Amino acid sequence: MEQIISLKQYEQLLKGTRKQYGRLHTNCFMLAPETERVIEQGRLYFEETDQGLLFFVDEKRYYQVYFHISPDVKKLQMIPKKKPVLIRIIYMQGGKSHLQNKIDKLIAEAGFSLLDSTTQVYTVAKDNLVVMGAMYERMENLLKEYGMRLVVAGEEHLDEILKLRDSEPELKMFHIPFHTREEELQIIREGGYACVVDHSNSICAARKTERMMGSLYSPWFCVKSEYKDKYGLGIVMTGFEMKYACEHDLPRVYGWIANDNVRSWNYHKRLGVICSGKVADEWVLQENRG
Amino acid sequence: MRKKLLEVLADAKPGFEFEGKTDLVDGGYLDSFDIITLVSELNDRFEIDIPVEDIVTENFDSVDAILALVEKLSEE
Repeated sequence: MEQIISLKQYEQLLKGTRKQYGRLHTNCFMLAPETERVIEQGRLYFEETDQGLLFFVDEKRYYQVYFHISPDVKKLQMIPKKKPVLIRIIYMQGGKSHLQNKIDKLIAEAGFSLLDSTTQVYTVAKDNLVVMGAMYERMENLLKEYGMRLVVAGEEHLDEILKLRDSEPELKMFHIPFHTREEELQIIREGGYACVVDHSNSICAARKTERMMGSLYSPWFCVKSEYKDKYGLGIVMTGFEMKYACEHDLPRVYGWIANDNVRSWNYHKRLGVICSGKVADEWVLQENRG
Repeated sequence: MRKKLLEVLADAKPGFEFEGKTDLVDGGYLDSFDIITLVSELNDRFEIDIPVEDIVTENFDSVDAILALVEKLSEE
C-alpha cells in the first residue's frame, strides 16, 4: 500500500486509470472535503488491482476499502492486511445491477465474508415529536425518580463515553469510523453527544449524533449492561435527538439498522422510522495473523 | 442543456421536484450517495469528467449550480 499525500495525486491516479480502462465502477461516496480530510490525516492509501485501483482508509482498527474498477474486471486481488478490511457497498433496495452482483461474486472469491446487510432508515424529527413528544417527556421525567438525568455531554465526559462505547459488545467496530480527539471534542462542543448520568455523575448511556449535509446522523448509541431494558434510556436519548434536530433545522434523522437485528427493528418501528430505500452490504476480509 | 439535466435529475430521483430548490444538499434532499450517483450519470450523459475537487456540496445545491458545473466542464 502506498500513502496518498495530496488530492492532486488522488485525482491523477483516478484520471490515469480512467484513461486506461474507461468509465470505472466504484463504491466510493466520499466527497472532496472528506477525501481531503483523510489525506491530511495521513490515512489514505492505494493499491493497484486488476483493471483498477483500491483506496484504503485507515480507520485504526480496520481498513475501509473503496474500489474504482473497470466493469470488465475479472478478478479482485487483495492480500490480507494486518487489520481487517471492510468493503461497504451501498445500493438501492431491489435495484442491484448485474454488475453489482458480479462484483459481489468477485469480492467473495477474494476471501471476503458478508458480515452484515443494513438498511438506512430516517425519521422526520418534527413529525416524530408530534406523535412521540409526550412520551419522551414522561420517560425523561421518570429518570429523575431513579436518580438519573439526561445531559448534553461536555468535554469532561468524552473519555468515559468512549470507554463505554468500546466496551459495548453489540456495537461493531466497523460501525465506528475513526475521529481524531480534536474532532470528537468538536462534536461535543456542537452538542453532538448526549448521555444519561446517575446521581454520582457516572454515565449510564450515551448517544452520538453528527450533523452532515443538512441532516442529523445517528451512528451509534449504547447503554451500560446493568441499565439495559430497564429505564427506557434509548427512548429518552431518541427524544433528545429529535429535539436537537428540530432546534438546528435538520428535518431528518438518519441511521442504519442491521437487517437481522429484530430487536432494533421492533424498537425503531415503534418510533415510526421510514426506510430510505438504501441498503449497504458489508464485506470483511479478516486480518493476516501470520 | 437544462432540459437534458432535468431529465437526468428526474431519472436519479423520480418524482422529486428539483426546480426552485436552492438547498438540495443543505436541506437534506441529497446525500453523498445521491451526489456520487448523480456524478456518474452526469459524466455519462454529458460526456464530461467531473474532477474530485468539484465534488463539493455547493455544486449540487440547486439545478443552476449543477448546470453551471456541467457547462463549465463541457467547455473545457
